[in-house]
Amino acid sequence: MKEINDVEIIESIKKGNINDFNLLIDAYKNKAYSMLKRMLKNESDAEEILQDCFLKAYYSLDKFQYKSKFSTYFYRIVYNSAITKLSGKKRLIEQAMDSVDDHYDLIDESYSFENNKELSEKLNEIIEKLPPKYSAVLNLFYLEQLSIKEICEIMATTESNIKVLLYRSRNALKEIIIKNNLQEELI
Amino acid sequence: MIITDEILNKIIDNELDQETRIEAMDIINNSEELTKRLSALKLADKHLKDIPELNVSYNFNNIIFDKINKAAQYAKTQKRFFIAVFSIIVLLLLGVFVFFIISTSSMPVKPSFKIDINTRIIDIMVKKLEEVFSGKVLTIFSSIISLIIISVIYFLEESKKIKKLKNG
Repeated sequence: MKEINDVEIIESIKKGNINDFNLLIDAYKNKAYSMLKRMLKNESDAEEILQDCFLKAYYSLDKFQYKSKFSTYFYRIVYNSAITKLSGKKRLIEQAMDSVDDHYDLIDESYSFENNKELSEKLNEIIEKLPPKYSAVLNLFYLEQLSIKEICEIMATTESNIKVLLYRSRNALKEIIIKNNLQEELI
Repeated sequence: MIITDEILNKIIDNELDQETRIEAMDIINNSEELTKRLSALKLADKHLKDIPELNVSYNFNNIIFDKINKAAQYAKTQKRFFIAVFSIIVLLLLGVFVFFIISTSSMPVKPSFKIDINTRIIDIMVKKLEEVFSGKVLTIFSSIISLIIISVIYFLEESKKIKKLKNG
């Protein structure tokens, strides 16, 4: 349903109804912003990059051939822009460019929380601290609810790499839950 | 079967076949440690499904449309400039052409000689080229060429600016 709408919106924009681009912006801005903010760890950078991404998408709509979903196409722009920004700033470049076989420690001692903190608060804190690639996978998988195959296309990597990133992120949260003995909330 | 984190994740994602899943669940149910790990993983997955969506600033759409409009306006201005420069160049070339025609038609032709028309044109061309590369006409041509070069440089610079604007 959503995809049909995207196609219709794009066709309408191509016909000259520029204001319909608002619909595309509204559909993707918050999810893409969430991904960028978690990857770049900076609000203003995230918003600036997102504006650039929408402009890039707008000016390349004429070339858009519907070979993939617009969401895949757009998130590829977003992901690549984020990686470029990280590389350019030489900030977290190691984490951003590492292969998934590295041994980035997702759980360190600083992740022991005060008892009065809510579980969701504690877990959100970890999610915000994840390295860029992990954040990207989590946002695309859980927030945008894209398939592993689509995420592979966006991040230009293999299915097994994406699964490793996803499993590691989940495991990081799992370890924190076990460490804080919070799993009983579910049992 | 050894229950690894990978298998626990596959259980969460429903990626195991029926037989393997039953076997794995039997082992997990008989181990307090594994049950704890699976529960924790389920809780992590549940939390991740509710991962909060962050919001952009309220005037985000307006900022993008401002940029789009600005780039479009810039492109229009550039187009107008290009047309203006092109018109001036065409007019100048037309002027030179008219000047060339007038000067050739006013050249005296000796009626007593039957000159082949081609020879005459080549003759005139050579004379005109000599004129072009000397004196006033050379100045005019240099001005036109300079104008063309400046326009091309300006045009390229403007194109770069528009490209930059389009990329935000």
